[in-house]
Amino acid sequence: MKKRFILWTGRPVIISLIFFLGLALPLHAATEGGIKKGVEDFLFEKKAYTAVEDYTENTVFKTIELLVQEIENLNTAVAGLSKSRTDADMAKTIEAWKGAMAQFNRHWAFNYGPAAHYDFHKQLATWPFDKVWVDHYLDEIEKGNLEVTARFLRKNKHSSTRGLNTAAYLLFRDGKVRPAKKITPAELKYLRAVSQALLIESVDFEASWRGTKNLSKEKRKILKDAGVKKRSSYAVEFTNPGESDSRYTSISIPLQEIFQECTTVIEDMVAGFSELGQVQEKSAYWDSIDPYADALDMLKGVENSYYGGVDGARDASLSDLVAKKNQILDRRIKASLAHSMERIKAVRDLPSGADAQTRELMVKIAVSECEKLFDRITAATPLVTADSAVKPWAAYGR
Amino acid sequence: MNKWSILYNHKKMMFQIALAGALALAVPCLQTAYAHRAIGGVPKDLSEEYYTGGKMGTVFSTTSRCMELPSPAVSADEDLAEKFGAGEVIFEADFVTDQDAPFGGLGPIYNNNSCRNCHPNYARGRRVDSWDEQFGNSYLAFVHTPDGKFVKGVKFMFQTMASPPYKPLGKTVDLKWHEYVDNHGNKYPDGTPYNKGKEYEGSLIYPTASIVDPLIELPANHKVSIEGTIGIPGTGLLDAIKDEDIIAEYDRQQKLEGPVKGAIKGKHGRWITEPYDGEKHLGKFTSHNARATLQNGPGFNGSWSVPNITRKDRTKLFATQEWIDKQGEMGLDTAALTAHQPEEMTQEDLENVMIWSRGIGIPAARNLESPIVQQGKKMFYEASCQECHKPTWTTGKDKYIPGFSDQKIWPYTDLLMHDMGKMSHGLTKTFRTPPLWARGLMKNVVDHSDMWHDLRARDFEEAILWHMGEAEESREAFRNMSAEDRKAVIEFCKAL
Repeated sequence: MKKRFILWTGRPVIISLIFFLGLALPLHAATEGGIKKGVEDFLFEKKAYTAVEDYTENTVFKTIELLVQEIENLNTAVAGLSKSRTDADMAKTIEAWKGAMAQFNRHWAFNYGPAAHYDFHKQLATWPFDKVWVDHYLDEIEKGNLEVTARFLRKNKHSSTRGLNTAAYLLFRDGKVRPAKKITPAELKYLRAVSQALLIESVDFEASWRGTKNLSKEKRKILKDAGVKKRSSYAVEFTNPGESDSRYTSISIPLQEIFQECTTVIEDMVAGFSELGQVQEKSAYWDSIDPYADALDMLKGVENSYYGGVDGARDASLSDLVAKKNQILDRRIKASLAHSMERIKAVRDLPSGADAQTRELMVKIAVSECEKLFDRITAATPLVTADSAVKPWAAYGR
Repeated sequence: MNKWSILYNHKKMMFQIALAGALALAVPCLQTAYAHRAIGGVPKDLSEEYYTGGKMGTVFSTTSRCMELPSPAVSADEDLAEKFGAGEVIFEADFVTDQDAPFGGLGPIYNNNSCRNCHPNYARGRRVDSWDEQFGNSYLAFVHTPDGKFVKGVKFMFQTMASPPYKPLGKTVDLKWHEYVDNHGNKYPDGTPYNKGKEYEGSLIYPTASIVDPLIELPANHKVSIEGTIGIPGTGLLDAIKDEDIIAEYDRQQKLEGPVKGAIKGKHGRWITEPYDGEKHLGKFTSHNARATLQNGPGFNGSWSVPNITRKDRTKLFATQEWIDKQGEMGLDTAALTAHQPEEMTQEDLENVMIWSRGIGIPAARNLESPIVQQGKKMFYEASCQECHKPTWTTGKDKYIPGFSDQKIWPYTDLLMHDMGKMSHGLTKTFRTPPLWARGLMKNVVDHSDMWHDLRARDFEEAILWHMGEAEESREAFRNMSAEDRKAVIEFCKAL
């Protein structure tokens, strides 16, 4: 009886035990795992939203604000140069132009969205500029046949007759700063119109991200006076994916935009790096004034995207997201960014008499470092953008 | 190294290093904006309808770069991928007048200085108020007689730009927009105004155009019609559709009861003998099916005719003799205009441009299983929209992009011409059914949703409401739907 009782009572216990060990425990574990995964996903998605918001605020807004500021400086300097035509005024103008060019090159890393929709890169610095047209206009100004204004330049359908590269043509010759007195009155008038057009277009670029109504009163006036249409805020859509009035279905898409553009900047640079031996005895008018500065600023733009913000204003970033998935990879990307810039500086700082072999070797090292950076960001991209937490396939109902 | 190869390097180059220390450093300006690539990955368990461009022609992206990504067929082939990249640089380039400069040779008479300006971000252009808008303004102006023949002295694209000292055919084109009210007072039968809730509620608009200060005398009865450009993605896949399949679709439509016929003068469209093979091919490109194949199509010719960049197979300027004579009358030397033109673009460059234009992937359809999209699909078919917006085709053999062969694609076009009613008549009475694929991504890519041959429709709702003529019954079916069903149809169109 006792034995039977034990057997009888033992069955449910054994069954319960089997159930518990075979099903309930794994189920419990699975539930616990599921909850853990759910919490992790929630936190990662939240982190992603924060990173995109801070990137928008601290990288994009700040870079464009600085671009506008530098172009305002250029405008002021050109006005001064127009009045007195001294070499001191010229030096101020050159500094302002360099500042504007630097900020322009830092924008490439967010050349998607409004920049791609409205070609702000062409509005601000079409390359090459059209020398024939510019010289023609200068000639017409000399003859008194043309009153050149920012409005005229913006309406003539040739962005290649304005922008930072056209300004460089008026300020430099053969890569060197022109003496102030050599700049003709017609050229000064033209430069004034170019810098004013640049100001309108840089403010318009800012409006495309912030929305016209969110600009300062002074900036709104610049656009209104120039007859520029009001713009809604792309940033609102960018930072609120999944909302009914955003063109983006999930936070993965803004992240894809950022990563995609960063690798594009690097890939195009790397393609250029590998093109060696284009020796020319004389520089051409379309050549860059300072290709090293251009390269470093383009990389700086990528760094700003990755670290989130500009120097002195950084917050949550892509780096945080990558580190969450792979700390070592994050550290490697940061190291590659620093190394790439150092290697470019090393080429820049070679003495002018450095032999060809040394120069070639240094360039190869710089290329290799940039390729490493590209590979590492490419490896990090799916870790962040294809993580289920950021809903990479929301557009497809997945 | 040919001139244009150097140009790619200039355009793409980060910097050039002079290897000989004694020589000056020659460095181009740094630019980037190319070489975008898909983030990678494909969502699981998608039906074939998601693969709008077939397995080898579809890209899974909804970023602002989603219409410029190489298709899987290109990405999988190293040679094609390299040529694709080289071709893309030319598409993005800003041509300049100086023949010795990078991307030199613009003009002397032209329509625009960059392909990208008319195909913003590789997509369709946007509606503009002013002809002088440089970026995104995709309008072409056709100056023609009332019966659709081009006026003597002008090319089919009216050229409003010329390099100094030459003068263009006209100073500009004056665009005007007018309100249109239909027989129903721009209201649905349920009393809802068209475009309800939008800033232009109750309104439909259409354009007219006129030439300002024409250089040559235009006949008194001339008309000016404007048309917008097409988007580039997907054209390579459409090129791979066999002529006999289009004719079969034409034959099917002849058996339909009702007005939908897809016929021009009782035929399926014109046969065009292509110079590269001497064979006849059925017209299926441009809004008028005026071009048969891409190898002699809009991009192939546009890279010459729009900026007037000459090449070995296009040695003459894209200009009329009347325009040249007029320059002479103004005292300008016309010797350079009539002389043999220099080779400004090599055949290799041309091949690259063609591989690029054919090889762009078409973005996948989106959210097809959602209830509202499913309902919209049902109503789309109930309104017989699919009779002209033929959902699917299977491509034939493609020798240019081999991966595009035998792909089941979902462009939603029959590639035939239809009459959309008197209010839409322009250069011709009929227009090719435009593909619907990826239209829902226009906002992401180029920040607008303008449609119709002259971009008068500001979104899908207006585009449907401009379906008159052969499509009047479908229009009425849409108008008589409930508000929910109308919304569902639009959501379906956006999802394709």
